[in-house]
Amino acid sequence: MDWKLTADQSMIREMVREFADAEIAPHAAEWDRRKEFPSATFEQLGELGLFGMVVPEEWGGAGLDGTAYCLALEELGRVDASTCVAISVTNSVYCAPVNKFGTDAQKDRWLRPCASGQWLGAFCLSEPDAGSDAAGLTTRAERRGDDYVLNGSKAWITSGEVCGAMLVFAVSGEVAGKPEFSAFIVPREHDGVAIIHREEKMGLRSSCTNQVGFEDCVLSSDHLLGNEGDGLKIALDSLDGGRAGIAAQSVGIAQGAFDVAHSYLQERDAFGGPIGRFEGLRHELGRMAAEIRAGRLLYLRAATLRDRGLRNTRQAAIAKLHASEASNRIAYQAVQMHGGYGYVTDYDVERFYRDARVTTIYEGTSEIQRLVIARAVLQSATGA
Amino acid sequence: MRIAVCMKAVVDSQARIELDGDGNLRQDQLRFEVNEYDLYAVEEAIRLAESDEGHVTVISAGTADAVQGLRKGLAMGAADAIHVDCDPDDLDASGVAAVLAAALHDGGYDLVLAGVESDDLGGSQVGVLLAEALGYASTTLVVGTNEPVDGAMQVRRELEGGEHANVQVQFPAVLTIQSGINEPRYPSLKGIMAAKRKDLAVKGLADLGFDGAPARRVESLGLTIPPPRELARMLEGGAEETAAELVRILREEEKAL
Ligand SMILES: Cc1cc2nc3c(=O)[nH]c(=O)nc-3n(C[C@H](O)[C@H](O)[C@H](O)COP(=O)(O)OP(=O)(O)OC[C@H]3O[C@@H](n4cnc5c(N)ncnc54)[C@H](O)[C@@H]3O)c2cc1C
Repeated sequence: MDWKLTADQSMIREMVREFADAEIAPHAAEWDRRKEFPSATFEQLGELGLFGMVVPEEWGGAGLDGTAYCLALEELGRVDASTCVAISVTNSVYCAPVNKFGTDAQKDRWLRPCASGQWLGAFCLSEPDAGSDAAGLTTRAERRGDDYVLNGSKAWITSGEVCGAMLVFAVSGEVAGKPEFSAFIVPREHDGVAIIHREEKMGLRSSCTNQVGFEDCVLSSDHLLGNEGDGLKIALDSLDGGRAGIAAQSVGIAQGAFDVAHSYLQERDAFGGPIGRFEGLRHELGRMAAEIRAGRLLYLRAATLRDRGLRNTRQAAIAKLHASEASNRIAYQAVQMHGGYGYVTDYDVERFYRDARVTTIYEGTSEIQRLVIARAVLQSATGA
Repeated sequence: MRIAVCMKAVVDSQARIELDGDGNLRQDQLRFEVNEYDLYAVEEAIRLAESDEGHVTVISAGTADAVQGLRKGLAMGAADAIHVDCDPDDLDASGVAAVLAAALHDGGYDLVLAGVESDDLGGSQVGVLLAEALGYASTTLVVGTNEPVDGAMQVRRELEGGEHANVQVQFPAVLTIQSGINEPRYPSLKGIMAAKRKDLAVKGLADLGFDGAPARRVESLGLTIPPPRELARMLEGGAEETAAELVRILREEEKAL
């Protein structure tokens, strides 16, 4: 496998890095403190093409490969995981499935404006009573004439209140006594859609996480993505793409925490010199660096496979599991290295620590990743 | 309007600068980036071209390190690029101006923009010498441009002390662009992807009619790092402590108070 980035991939990483350092990093702590979704910055991100990075140019996107996309997410995650998650959701689990499963008419209406930066997309799978067990969701889409009528409520919806449209998964019928799921594209400004609540969170505080309700929300059949019954397939396929992205986000958070810890080790004096000379801390720094590099290689591997049109379920799950767990260990250790200063909000490391926490939870908890990996390993002749 | 913009790959300001025993730069540590002034020049050119359906060409004389900058110029919105493939270490400022002039002279450009200076060597010569080599008008330290009228343009120059002078230059002209004239855009993802489909012409010195590099008339003899000064003294401690210590030094040691 060739690990050298192409000229485009390096240039994209460079551009996002410059933007992140100049336009996001100086404000991220303040947005977090005020729980403020930075709309003006998102406008800029949209204009630069970050809402639909992998969407082909004919539909208003930039036509990037998944590798470049993940590199961009890492750069955003390095300075602000809140900004990063909204970008990840609109790309991985809104634009990508609409691009893959949508008709030309649907793409023209609901993909082009998002990919060209006019609004963000959202993804509504989880419900208050169905997270890991997504097949336990109870939002219903009932057929009424040519239309569908949506009823139910969705939980934890990233960008719910700031999105232009969302991809909503609902039970649309029953086959052999089992529920059948379908996916619908639903504009936020549509009758019967209500933003019920915004969560108060430990981290990702400038990202909006909403409960969204659907009450007699009537959708004409052109809102149906793919065929009736394709819902689960679409959701799982989106998540395979999404997980490599969350792995990249996790590596970004870890890198951000590592960078501040690395400088702090040179700056802080104790017992007559910089604390970076203590072997106990150097060992930790070495472990952190190794875990970050491993995480980066894993997400690049998962993204490259998908770029080649190969299934990457196992590799994406492994990347997400490793990177998210490692980013928590690394952020923990980075706080530890800061001593008391790591525990106060004056230093970014405290935010990195809170933000890292969610990465082992969303887009499939670590427990679910292990199940996915185990299933794939048991089925495969080659093992791990 | 046809505009060319000169871009230079300069040593990354974050890179570690080390000299070997002979006063030569240790090349192995170096990384290159686009000269920051040139980004202002590219942005100004694109803005002028946008309001006038103009055409922007970016040009760089240098090794393969120059290509990255040209790609950035293309990603920001230039239409095409020329890479004059040569080793800039063989050239002095007038040599660089001569090869750029050879590549540009039959391009029919109304304007050629360059940064005021380069971040690394800071000679401020190439733009002016290029105007001379092309037989164009030239004006330096430009901090504002206007729409061209009848083959001329009014521009604002920065004077010492921050004052401005308005001047009118006849086309064709070379302007050297001061930082802060605009806010260079980030290349969009689409721009980056489109850049690789744009024409990037590579020309060797022989293609431009040179028989080897034009001889240097200014020769670099070596670099030195100034010895650290002993005069500065850092006072440590809180504000009160350091203020008291400062007064004591000024009174007792320096006898200045
Ligand atoms: C900030 C944030 C943003 C989010 N954004 C979105 C979004 O945009 N769209 C969306 O649809 N969802 C989103 N989510 C939801 C997220 O994907 C779910 O929270 C996650 O899938 C876990 O579901 P749950 O919360 O219901 O936990 P549960 O599924 O109830 O899990 C509780 C615990 O049980 C464990 N567990 C469950 N099943 C098993 C099993 N079979 N074996 C072993 N252990 C198991 C879990 O790992 C976990 O530890 C978001 C969540 C957060 C916190």
